[in-house]
Amino acid sequence: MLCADHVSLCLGGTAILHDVSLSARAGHLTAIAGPNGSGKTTLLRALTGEIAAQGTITMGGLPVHPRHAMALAPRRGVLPQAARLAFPFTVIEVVRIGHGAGRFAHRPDLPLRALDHVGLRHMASRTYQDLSGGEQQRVQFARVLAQIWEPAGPDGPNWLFLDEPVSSLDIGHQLGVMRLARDFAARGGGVVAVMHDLNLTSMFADQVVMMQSGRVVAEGTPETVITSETLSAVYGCDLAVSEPPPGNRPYILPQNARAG
Amino acid sequence: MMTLTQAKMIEAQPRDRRATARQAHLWLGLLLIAVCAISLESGASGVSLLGLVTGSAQDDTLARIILWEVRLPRIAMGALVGAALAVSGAVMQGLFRNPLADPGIVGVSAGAGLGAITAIVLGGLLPPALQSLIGIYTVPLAAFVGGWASVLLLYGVATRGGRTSVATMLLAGIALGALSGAVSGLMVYAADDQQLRDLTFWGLGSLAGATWAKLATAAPIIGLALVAATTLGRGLNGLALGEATALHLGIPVQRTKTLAILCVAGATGAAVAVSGGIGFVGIVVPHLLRLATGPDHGPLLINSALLGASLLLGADILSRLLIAPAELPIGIVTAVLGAPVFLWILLRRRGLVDL
Ligand SMILES: Nc1ncnc2c1ncn2[C@@H]1O[C@H](COP(=O)(O)OP(=O)(O)O)[C@@H](O)[C@H]1O
Ligand SMILES: [Mg+2]
Repeated sequence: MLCADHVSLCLGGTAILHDVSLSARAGHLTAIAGPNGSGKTTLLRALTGEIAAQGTITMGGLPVHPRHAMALAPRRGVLPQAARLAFPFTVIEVVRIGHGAGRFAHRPDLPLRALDHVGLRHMASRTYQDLSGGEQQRVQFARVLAQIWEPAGPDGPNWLFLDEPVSSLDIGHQLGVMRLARDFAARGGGVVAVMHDLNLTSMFADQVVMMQSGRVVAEGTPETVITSETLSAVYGCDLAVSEPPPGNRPYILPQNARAG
Repeated sequence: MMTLTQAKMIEAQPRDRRATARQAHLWLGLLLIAVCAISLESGASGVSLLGLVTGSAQDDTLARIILWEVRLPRIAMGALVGAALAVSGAVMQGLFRNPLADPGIVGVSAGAGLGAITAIVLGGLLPPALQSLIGIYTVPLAAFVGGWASVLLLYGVATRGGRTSVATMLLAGIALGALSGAVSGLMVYAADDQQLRDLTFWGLGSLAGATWAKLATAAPIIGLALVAATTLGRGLNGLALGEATALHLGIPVQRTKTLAILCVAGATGAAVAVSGGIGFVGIVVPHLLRLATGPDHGPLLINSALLGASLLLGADILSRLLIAPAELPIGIVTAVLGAPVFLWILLRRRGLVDL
């Protein structure tokens, strides 16, 4: 269980998060959605203990704070929104950096298997900087997977925190990465993902946290959060959620946006 | 032509540079021993250890003195200073996440030099109790403080929120170097004759003044810095992915940065204190090694120490032989070898500087 209780946060003198409370369950994929600049990345940074926030945040009972980052490393991996790399490491070397930080550093086969999962085994020896943006994003995902290989450990579930994990991917790899994340959750792990794409959110999330201007404005299953009323209010344009005949998950067509 | 299955087999086993990097410890160690031997055998006096051992030397005592009091301390100092400069460069590049960060180029050596000069000229003004306490270590310690202040200042100016601006770093380095140079110049006016002689010899960057006594002042500081630097491999690898990711990988980011800054200050400071400003070793050595065996800082730091020592000893041999019996300041040799490499990195990675 990941719990944030009355979390507020200021950056550079500006209040970014206002009294945010939420909880995410292991075994579920929790999506954080909302317009640009609504504080999704900042919330994720607070939830991973990258920046200290007011209020209390706990992960499986452990306090989350920059001070405790070392204790948390074996139990949670973090995929940042934008990842830079300073030196000409190869793809497999990048994945090994994550692998070495996790609990399974003694299993030398994992980095290649992680690359297999994201379909990049054949690029293992390439220099990271020579890859396309989407390929780099998948390498980073493999790095996180290699760090947190198992969804659960002896002391409870492990967690993945993903900031827009599919933002530069083509549709095939978007589905591939989201399936990996959902599979991780289905096997008992916790996944918190900042999501850009509302259709993918609707397809894969068990729970959606909708942010607006640093506040949580709606929280619940995709069916209850992704509604025409909520989306129109949050995204500032008149959106209509469409329901296709088969299945019961909502989906969104930008073609249905009305001028206004 | 390669068949598809062959291509697949090759990718099934990706190129692993870790083994190459570890083997390089051995080869570079052997290279260092070879260079030491050549250095011991070559010199203006024509004395050689081989001659001494086989009994063909004309004057045993003189040969012994030259080998033991002139060449050996010089070799030890050259190896130590070369290792210190190369490791300083590698650590600083890891800390600033940039292959152009070199203590010589960004003004850290100049800052250390200012510390050393201040100690030489004004050391007499310290309270006697303190003087007797730190004694022979005054100059290297002052150089350490000067280098440390420079790295801190540079890091504070060029790095915001865990990101280094290369342009700011290089420009701040120019300003820092100029300022240190100017203040050092002022100090020269305050120096007496004996101090002036010390300063002139030292400013050129040279191993010629190596003695066991001098070595004893620098060796503990450099030794400590080198040992500490070898623990930084994992931390610097993590930092290459950015500070936030390093934190999530469980790396003690603040401790890593502090230790890295202390290592650079200690190794650069002590090296500058005993041999003056010898440039470019810190940029050439790590760069060549990254090309050959990859950027993994674990083996890189050890290989840098070994190759840096060999390179500086090689440059020292050249500086003694090129215009024998006179001697070229070693800083000239390293600059002639190193400046083109610096320009080469700059050209290849021009986008990185984005001025
Ligand atoms: N370090 C910072 N200093 C000041 N403001 C920041 C900082 N980081 C983010 N912000 C601001 O906080 C708001 C939320 O940003 P962010 O969490 O990145 O949004 P998003 O929901 O798009 O991920 C934005 O208005 C952004 O400008
Ligand atoms: Mg964001």
